[in-house]
Amino acid sequence: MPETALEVSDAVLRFGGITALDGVGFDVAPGETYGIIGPNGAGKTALLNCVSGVYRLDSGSVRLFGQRIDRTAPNRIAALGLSRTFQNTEHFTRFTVLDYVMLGRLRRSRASVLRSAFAWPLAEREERGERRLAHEALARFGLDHVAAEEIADLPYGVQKRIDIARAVQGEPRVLLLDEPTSGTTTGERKDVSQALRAVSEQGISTVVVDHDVDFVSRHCTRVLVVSHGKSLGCGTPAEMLRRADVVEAFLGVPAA
Amino acid sequence: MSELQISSLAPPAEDTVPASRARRRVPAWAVWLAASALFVVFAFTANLFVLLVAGTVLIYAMSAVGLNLVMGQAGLLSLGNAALMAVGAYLTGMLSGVPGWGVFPIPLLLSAVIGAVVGLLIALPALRLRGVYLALATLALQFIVAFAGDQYQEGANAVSGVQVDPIRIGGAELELGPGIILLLGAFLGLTIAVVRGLTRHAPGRMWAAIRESELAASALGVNATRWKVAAFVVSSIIITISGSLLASYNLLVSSESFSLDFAISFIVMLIIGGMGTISGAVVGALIVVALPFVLSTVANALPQEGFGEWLGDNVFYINNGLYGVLVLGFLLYRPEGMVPALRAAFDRRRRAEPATVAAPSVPDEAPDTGPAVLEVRDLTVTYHSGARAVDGVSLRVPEASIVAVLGRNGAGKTSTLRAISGFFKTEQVGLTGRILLDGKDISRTSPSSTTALGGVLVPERDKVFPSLTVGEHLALAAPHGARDILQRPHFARLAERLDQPAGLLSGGERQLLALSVAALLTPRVLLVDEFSLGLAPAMTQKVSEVIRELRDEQGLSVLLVEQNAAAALALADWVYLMEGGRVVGQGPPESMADHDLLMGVPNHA
Repeated sequence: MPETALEVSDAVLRFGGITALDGVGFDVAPGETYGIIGPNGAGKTALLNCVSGVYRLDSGSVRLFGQRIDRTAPNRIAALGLSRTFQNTEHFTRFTVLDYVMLGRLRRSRASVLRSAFAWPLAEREERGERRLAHEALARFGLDHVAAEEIADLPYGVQKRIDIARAVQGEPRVLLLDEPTSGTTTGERKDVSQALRAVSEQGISTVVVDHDVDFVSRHCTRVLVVSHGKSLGCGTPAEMLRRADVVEAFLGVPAA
Repeated sequence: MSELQISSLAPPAEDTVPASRARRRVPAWAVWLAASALFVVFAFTANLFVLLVAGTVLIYAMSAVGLNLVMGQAGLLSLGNAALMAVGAYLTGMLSGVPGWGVFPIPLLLSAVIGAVVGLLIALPALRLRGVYLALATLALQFIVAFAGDQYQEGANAVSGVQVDPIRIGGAELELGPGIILLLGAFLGLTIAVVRGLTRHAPGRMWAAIRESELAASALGVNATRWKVAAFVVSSIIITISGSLLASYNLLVSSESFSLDFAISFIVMLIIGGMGTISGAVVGALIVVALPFVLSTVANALPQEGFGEWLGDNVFYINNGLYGVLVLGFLLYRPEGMVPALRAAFDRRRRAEPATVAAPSVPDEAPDTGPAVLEVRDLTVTYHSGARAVDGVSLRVPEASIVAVLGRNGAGKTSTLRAISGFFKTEQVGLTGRILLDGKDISRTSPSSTTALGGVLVPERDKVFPSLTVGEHLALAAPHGARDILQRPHFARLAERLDQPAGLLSGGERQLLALSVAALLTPRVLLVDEFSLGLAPAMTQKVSEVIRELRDEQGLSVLLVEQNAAAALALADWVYLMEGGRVVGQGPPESMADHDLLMGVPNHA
């Protein structure tokens, strides 16, 4: 078993003339909950997109349990056991909650055209099993009562938790959470916190990108601070938040 | 001021939640059995003319169901339908009469194989192209097949079409009659069963995910390439088989019958019937095929003079015109198509019954400080999906006062505001209750008339036109004397930027511009949606001051919808609290500050 669940080294990403990531690196230990913080436009989401294969790095590498994945298609990366949530929950708003959560099980279930087209009883039995698992997952996050709703009809905070429930459904080895608290109310944030605790209790290595420094400090053993596409370093939340350059990056003014 | 009134904070009653999408289900096998029995009775009782039309409907419906898999499910626009049917039809024509090969079901099986290959070929551009570009690429197939068809007909010395033998089963030729109709019905039934099996299980979810967002779907682990190819292959097999059946049914193959018009007519079927539903595709095929026959039957029944004669002479044109009207009508008013629209209407009626009994209205004892400029009574807003966003809300905005509606995301605040400003009239959202502006009911008034009457919305987004300058915005609102408003100290920042496009303004400046435009429209009541969203605390305070000034100096009434509790409590004279589409409390701001629900409202200021 390798020492690290996820390892990003010297990540460089350019869009035209703009350098979104400029030599950022970090590593996440198995079972660790790791935070990435930084001001707007620092490159946090770009970093997650590079890890999940949505963007392709210009140079540098990404390793998932030792295996290079920086040239791998997003769906292959997902199949290797890396799940992610989305910053905006706008993508699948017309899905019912149950269908969406069932999408999360792709990695564990094999969909087949032939079986669904001609072997209905077999496909139906499998479908029932999948549905039951999805209900169980929703129940774990206290969401089973909304299973039949369309995602668009639900409050933002609930959508965020549904996305986490969906991502965990595939029994990932590494989970990326993209701004799980953005746009949520204080009450909803508690629910998201609880969901995240449930995830880390399962021993899943998790990377949390968020603006809420309190939230990240509470959950993460270590945080990486990025600003203008560069890493300001990594350490325990308390360590990092004491540093003058970190405070300055957040407030935009030199710390007194 | 009256005492704080908090009605029950209990969660909304069961019936208001649009839960249980589960219909009372009749078992699937019973539906199939009943449909088959009815169909058999139909096949043996209908006259030959009706059977002739029915056979065409069945074949086209099969093809439409196949096309729907690619277009409705996977969201890939394809115009290759006619070409694929032509492939099956020509293949069947070529095999016709060839000893050993022309025998049922060999032409069908070979059509399926060729269909799969052509499907793979069409899928290649689909991996790179989307939308209109993909449709244009599939159009190439149309031209290739039409050309090849013409060449074949010339070579076979059959310029007007190639003769095809009827299907033989057990030595009997299936000429027009119950036999062939039952066979075609069986094929349509099989097609529906296969497509239903696909769409209701995992493959359907993959296609839906690709349709919604291909990139996001692949991040979820969906192999978009594989599933797009699968959609094209399965769909092409179905469509090619339907083409083969069509040739055997018409006893003729001619390149003229597989024109571009023919391809488009299948898209018409899906639009009318309902993209993405199997029954929609079948209903669409029925309407499109049967319409000309119905029209000519009507024309023949009328006396052959005057209108009857005119109709008889022009059936062809009237028929095409009607297709156009139907397509436009559905695209404009029921873009989801006939079957989903009927389903939604049916669901709504079922849901409405118990809901109206429950929904208690909140005691309407709002502030009695002067006459109300705006009054909302028992407002209910129900979206298409059946979700009830606003459920019996009543509120008043008195003269020259600021009233805030607070609540968390999804509480129904913005829906209330949109209902007041008239936006739901054009969006076919169900709306009941009364909205009175100066005593006049504006619940059925369009947004522009509502503005003219004095209800002016300052929206959360899209509040300015990015390419118009600040000066042009003001001139748009009030052609004369617009710039007087800039004399006010708070708007000084805008005065400096008169010639700059609004797209270059900061968030706070945009908010100020939107407010000054709104103030110029001689409002009675300003409807302000989330003014503090994305604003730094200092700017929030400044905008608050502007709103207060508008109340004090112009005597405006203001209805605020806010998530930022601190900002709203500091500004408002009266506060309503919403949750789950209902008003769950109201009172002066001092009494609301410690309310449980507000603890759950973001409070960054």
